[in-house]
Amino acid sequence: MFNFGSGLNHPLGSTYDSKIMSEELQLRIHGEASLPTLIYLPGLHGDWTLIGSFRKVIGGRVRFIEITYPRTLTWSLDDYAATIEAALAHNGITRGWLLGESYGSQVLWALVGRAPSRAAGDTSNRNHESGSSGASPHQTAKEIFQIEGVILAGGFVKHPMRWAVRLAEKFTGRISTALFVRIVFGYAKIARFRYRHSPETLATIDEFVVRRTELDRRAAQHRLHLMAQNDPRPIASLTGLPVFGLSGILDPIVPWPFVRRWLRKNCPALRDYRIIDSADHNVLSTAPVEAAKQVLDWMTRPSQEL
Amino acid sequence: MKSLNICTTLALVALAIITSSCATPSRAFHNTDQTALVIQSFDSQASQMLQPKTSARENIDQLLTEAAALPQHETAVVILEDYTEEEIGDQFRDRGTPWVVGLRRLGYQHIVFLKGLGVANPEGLITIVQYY
Repeated sequence: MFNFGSGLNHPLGSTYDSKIMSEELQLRIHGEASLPTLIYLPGLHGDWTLIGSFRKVIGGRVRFIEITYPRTLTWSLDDYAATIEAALAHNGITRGWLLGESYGSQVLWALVGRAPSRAAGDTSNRNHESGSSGASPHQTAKEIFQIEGVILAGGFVKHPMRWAVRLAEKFTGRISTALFVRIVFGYAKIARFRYRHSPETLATIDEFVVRRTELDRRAAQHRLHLMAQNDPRPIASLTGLPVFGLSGILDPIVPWPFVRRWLRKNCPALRDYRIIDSADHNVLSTAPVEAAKQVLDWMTRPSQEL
Repeated sequence: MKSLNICTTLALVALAIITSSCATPSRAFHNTDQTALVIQSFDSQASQMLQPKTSARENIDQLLTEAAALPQHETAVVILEDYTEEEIGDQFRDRGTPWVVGLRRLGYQHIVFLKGLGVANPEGLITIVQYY
């Protein structure tokens, strides 16, 4: 794995290797096992490159587990969930809160939806494989992972504008190299300005850029396809787990008024939904201090309030 | 006895120098991939393909279109002319990022950036950064 370190500039002659982060689910653990566990499920970009500032702010108060998805073109959301469960079990992580960022909320609902079958010990159609990350689709988790609560960060249940997701999927598939270069280059420039107060995120924007390979684009397109197909409303309606929502006020990608309205009406487990004024869709990165404070507050509420 | 000690000391110093110079990776580029795409980038606008075939000066879009038609997409070497940074900073990000994104999109796994000296041969030029 390559690592640009904490500084913004890097010595000449540096070498960065991104291959290891390509094909397998990767999991990084920060913090002591004695701390409450928070598992970060990244958005469409699929990796931990934009979570540095949030990780730093919340560091020392939770055991922060961050995930990079494999660049798969075939997995279902259930495959994602099964692999994450297996990776968590492989690392001895048996309970924790889920933090689903944007697309990560779809993986989150898949994990929540699997909870009843796991509790019932339903492993009948699963293989017993093992991968280098300890994680392959449908690998049996030795211990049942216990979800303590779920937090949507710029997340959603069924996407409120599915037509836009389908459009994005088509656009991502047909985009020319010249336009792709302009979009990623433009995003990187904007991101450097946007995250100018988040040095940890700023330091990983180069990493974010380098990871945008052709396979990565196709994997993102596949995730958009999964997103457009997925409808976890029955899971969200029936779950007994405490549900929380967090959004930035400027979020054209996942308009929070629709998400919040649906949750308030249809999800009895919704405990709170917070809008942060100074943030946009990437609420964890654009307002890391406020987001971390809110997440900690939810995680540490007495259980009778949950 | 005294001369033996001096000889031993000198030998140890020489050994240390040899060992440390072997352990430190050289920043001078040596091309091991004969199918590599070599590009000379004059500024953020103009560039030229040097290998496997020579092109006219053209912009990044035109050059990437030509590169897309090449049979091999393994190694790409980009020589940045008039590059003055002592460590990777804004200048590299402004000039290098479009190449990284475009070449990655075309499937190049190994991308090397070199500090240009106005020559068309990349051998021995100083490596700015390389990505695998």
